[in-house]
Amino acid sequence: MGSQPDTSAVVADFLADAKRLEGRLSWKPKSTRGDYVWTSHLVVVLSGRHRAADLHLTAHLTREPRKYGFTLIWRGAKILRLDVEPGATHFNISTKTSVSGTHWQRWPDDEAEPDLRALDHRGWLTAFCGRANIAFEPDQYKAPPFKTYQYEMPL
Amino acid sequence: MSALDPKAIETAVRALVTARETSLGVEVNLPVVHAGGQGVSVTVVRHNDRYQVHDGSAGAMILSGSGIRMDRRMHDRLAALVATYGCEFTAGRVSTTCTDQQVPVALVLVANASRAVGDAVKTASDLAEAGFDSKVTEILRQTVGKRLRERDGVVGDSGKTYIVSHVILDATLSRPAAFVEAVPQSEAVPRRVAEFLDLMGEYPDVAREAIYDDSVAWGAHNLVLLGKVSNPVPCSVAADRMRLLAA
Repeated sequence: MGSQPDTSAVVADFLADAKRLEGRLSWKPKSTRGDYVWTSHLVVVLSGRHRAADLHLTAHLTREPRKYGFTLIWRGAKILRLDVEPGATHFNISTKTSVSGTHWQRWPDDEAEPDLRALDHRGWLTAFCGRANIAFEPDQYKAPPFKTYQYEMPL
Repeated sequence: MSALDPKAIETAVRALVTARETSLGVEVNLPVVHAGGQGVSVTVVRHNDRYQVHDGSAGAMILSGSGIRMDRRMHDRLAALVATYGCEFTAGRVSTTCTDQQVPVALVLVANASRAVGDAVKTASDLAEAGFDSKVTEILRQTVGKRLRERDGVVGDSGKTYIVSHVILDATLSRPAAFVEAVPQSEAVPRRVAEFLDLMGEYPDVAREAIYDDSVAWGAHNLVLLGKVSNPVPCSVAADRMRLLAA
């Protein structure tokens, strides 16, 4: 159907459209994930021209340097992703290159773009929301928890 | 073509393996990747004469970052998958214990099990439909103008609310005259048929128009199905049909 150019234009339009983050960050521990916390929020497009999106945030509980993930998902696709100190190399598939450290990934090719800034979690969220044109109020923010202990070695 | 140097290739590949200390232990980057290119790293922790190798829940974090909720059922299914690599899956973490001699192989097993966890669930994207949806919206904006309402909530006969992509109002702008949906590909047919069937029960007098992409091949049965609950309109003639509806 030759949809790729149209789809790219629609994604660009969606990203540029003013959006609002719904709800206060609420980091949820769970028995099925002991190492990290997660919170998920609706992202509303203010014009109503596009469907709402989801913002998923993850934060490791014990790893230092602190490891965070920010992912904007729209219509089932990862539109924008930010991995802060992922601790793993990203291999760019189309260019056969690799990126270490904090990096951004954009739809459609997921190629990693390094970001050398040193920010705290609020700073990274602000950067992410700025790039995706998502507004959030200061009282919606809550820093992710962090523990200093390690898991016991199984005997 | 120059001759291949096995040693040079081996050295280059070995350079992809790096290790550093973090608060979790020694974190080792390995040339193992998730779909999309995200690499895999695992951590080694020493405990007396034994070693624990784990992924720090990195595989599970990829799932959560994709919006996948890790319920108990999924956790148990992934535990069974991880067990095929000789590893455990506990509270989202892939791990195994070993002796110092076994550490290199344990690293490889945990890394691949972690990759399997992160790649275990694929989400269904309908992003490819967005371009066609946009095209149909543009046709409607140009042909029916102010009588178009985009993404309107409409309650069907079952009580379910549908966000109908396009509602064309009557000339008085007081009630719906037509519900119009874009159907870009055959995968979208069951969803649209269910929606139109439900709306048909509640709004029998409102026209239902399914604009489909006639630049791609369709199985006849899909158009027959759409035809049972709506008027299938090829996109190439949609502008004329919408003008007629709005006349």
